Amino acid sequence: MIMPPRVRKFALSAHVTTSVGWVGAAIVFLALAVVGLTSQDAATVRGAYLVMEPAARLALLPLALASLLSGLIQSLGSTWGLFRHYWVVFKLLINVFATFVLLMYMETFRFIAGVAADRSADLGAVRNESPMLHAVLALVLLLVATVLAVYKPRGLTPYGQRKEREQSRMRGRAG
Amino acid sequence: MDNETGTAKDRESIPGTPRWVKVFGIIALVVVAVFLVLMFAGGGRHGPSRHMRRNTTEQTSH
Repeated sequence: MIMPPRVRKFALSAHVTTSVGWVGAAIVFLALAVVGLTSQDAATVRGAYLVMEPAARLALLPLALASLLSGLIQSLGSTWGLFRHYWVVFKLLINVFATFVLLMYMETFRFIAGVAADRSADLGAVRNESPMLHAVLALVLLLVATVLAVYKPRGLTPYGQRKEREQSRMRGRAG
Repeated sequence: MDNETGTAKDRESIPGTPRWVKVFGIIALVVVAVFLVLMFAGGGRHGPSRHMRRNTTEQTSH
C-alpha cells in the first residue's frame, strides 16, 4: 500500500532521523572505546566501560530497532518496495545483520560493565579492544547503507522485474 | 526509503544483475562467512562467551 505524500514524508523523516542517530551513537561508542583503551586514569577507564551498557540499552539498541522498523514502513509504503530493488534489499540485510549482532553484543556490554565495576579487577582486565572493533565494523556497515540510500544504484531483483512487467501490462490495458 | 516516488521505474532499464550487486553479494557472503566461522568455529569462541573467558582468565592471572 502506497502511503499518501504527507505520511510518506513523515515516515522518511523518522527513518533518516533514527538512522543518522544510530551512526552518531556508534561514533560515541567508538570514542568511549578509545577512551577506555588509552586513558591513564583508572576512574575514566572504568567509567567508559560502565556507561556502555546503559547507553547501548537506552540509545544504541532503540535507534537500531527504530531504524529497522521505520525503514520497513518506508519501503513497503512507497513505490520502492522491500524486495524490488537490490539497493533496498542490501540496506535491509545490513540493518538486520547489524541489529542482530548488537542484540547478541548486549550480553558482552553487561559483562564488560561487570568487570569495570569490580574493584578487584585491575585495569588490564578492564580494558577491552572488542567494543572498538565492533564500533568500527558497525560504522563501516552503516556508512555503506547510507551510501546505498543516497546513490540508489540501479538494479531490479527478479521479483522487481516481474512486478514491473505486470504493471506495464496493466498500464497497457488501461491505456 | 526515498521520497522520490515515480522515479523508480525510470531508473531501471538494464535487465540482468548489475555488476555492483555481484560485488556486494560476494562481500556480504564473505562477511557472513567470517561471522559464522568466528561464532561457531573453535567451539563458539566468538560472541559474549569469548570475551568473558578471556577477561576472566586475565583477571585471575593478575
